[in-house]
Amino acid sequence: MSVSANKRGLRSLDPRPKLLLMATVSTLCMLTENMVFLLAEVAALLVVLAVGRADFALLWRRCRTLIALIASLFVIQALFAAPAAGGSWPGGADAQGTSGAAALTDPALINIGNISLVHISGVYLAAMLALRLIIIVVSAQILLEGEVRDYMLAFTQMRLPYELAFMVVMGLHFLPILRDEALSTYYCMQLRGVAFRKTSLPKKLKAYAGLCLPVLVSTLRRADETSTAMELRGFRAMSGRTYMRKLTLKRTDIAALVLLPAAFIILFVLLGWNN
Amino acid sequence: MMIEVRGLSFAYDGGPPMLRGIDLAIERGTINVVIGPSGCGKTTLLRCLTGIIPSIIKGELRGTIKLGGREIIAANEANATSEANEVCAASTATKPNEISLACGLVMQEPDHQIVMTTVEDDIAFGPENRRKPPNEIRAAVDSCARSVGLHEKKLENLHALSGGEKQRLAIAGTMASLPSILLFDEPMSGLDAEGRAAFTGLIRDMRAEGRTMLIVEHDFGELAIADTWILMKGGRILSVTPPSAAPRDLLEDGLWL
Repeated sequence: MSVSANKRGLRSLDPRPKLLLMATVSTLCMLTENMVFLLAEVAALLVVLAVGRADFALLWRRCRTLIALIASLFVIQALFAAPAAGGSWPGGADAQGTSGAAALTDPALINIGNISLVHISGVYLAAMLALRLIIIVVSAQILLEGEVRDYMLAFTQMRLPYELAFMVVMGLHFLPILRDEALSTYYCMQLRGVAFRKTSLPKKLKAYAGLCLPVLVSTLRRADETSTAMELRGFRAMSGRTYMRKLTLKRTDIAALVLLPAAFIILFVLLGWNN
Repeated sequence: MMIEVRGLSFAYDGGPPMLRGIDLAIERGTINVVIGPSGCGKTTLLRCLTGIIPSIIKGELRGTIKLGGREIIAANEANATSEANEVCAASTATKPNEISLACGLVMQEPDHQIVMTTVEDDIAFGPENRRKPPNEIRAAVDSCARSVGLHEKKLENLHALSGGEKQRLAIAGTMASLPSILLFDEPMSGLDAEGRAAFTGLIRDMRAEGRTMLIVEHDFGELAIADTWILMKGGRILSVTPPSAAPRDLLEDGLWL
């Protein structure tokens, strides 16, 4: 498919506003302790993606694999978070302040005998963690609505040393190659009789261990070959390099560069500043 | 002479000698084909000419190589009182990225050579490294993409290309840097009949432009337009002749295929 044939919405936007938006959103979600702000941030990001005509089906396919990870982290956080000090929990701070009464209790939700396993504060913290992860995943989708080559140009035009910009871009360029490499090895092993499914757990683990080694070796070899190829094509032979294309900020890019991060900062000031 | 190799010997670390006293002199603006069986040292010779040996791949190296009159590997025999000294002296060599300014290599596997994500960006990669102005880079990309039949696919992502198209892209990417010397490692391997014919036309055009080419191939039948056939076996050069004078007995007894 042509790179520029179907550029619209977020895809037509310069990479720099997208990078700044991602940085702003990620930073703000780490600064706040306010659940409402995090929920608002998720909603605002979805609005940005919808207005930017992002592919939600693709977003869902990408996020689906992370749901199990986020759910596991939620459970671990909820289980192992210590009860809030003084019996209070972050979500109860307002109620505590307005009533001036004794500290809100942090009731246990699940008890086994005398042992309290899950507290409201733990669930609250787990929900915050899950929301932060969701924000990072969703905001990364904004970056994915763009071409790797444009990000490299953006990095170099932002005065990042081109060696570093290439390092980042080659890493991104490498991911689909690695996936293909792993899949080919996986299919080759299956064709030669190795069972990855419908087998006992120890055998499954052994099969996956057998898959990891060739993938690791071929990855290292591929990285070596790529760096040799770059050298053979004159990379770093001269001080600096020129570029065939140059990114220029259009009016919509400048508007997005200013307005999108500003909107999230205003949202933070209104909702997320006072935890 | 565009390429001058004198007394070149090389053995990979802990391995047997792959090149044994290679002497070679190649004139400017000629097409030269190196023919030989697998393991005869063809690819090792290309690695020495591009500086991969000894800069990236280490081993025991002796001899001298000059490209366009510039010495890229030099064994200081006057100081070499022992084998160890000789090896040490030979290892003072020019780096591959510096050599690449004069000498381009088209690798056997195009996937190993293509570094960018779209056709036009990959062709532009070399000229960009040479700090060419953007308008010159654009012209080189257009011209090279057209000459390998990829002009209509300039904006395509690499995963949309077939194996043959990747091979043509690798050739275009090397050509775009305008090196005076071009080395090809089995460039015909991924090409169909049409691609092979196009490649033959391409190298003929480059010879007319005065570029020097050294092509490593198994299939000598396709490259009758070459000026010289260099026959190799066991790390040695057996003969350097025009195709018409090549020793047919060696070529036809199956030794080379």
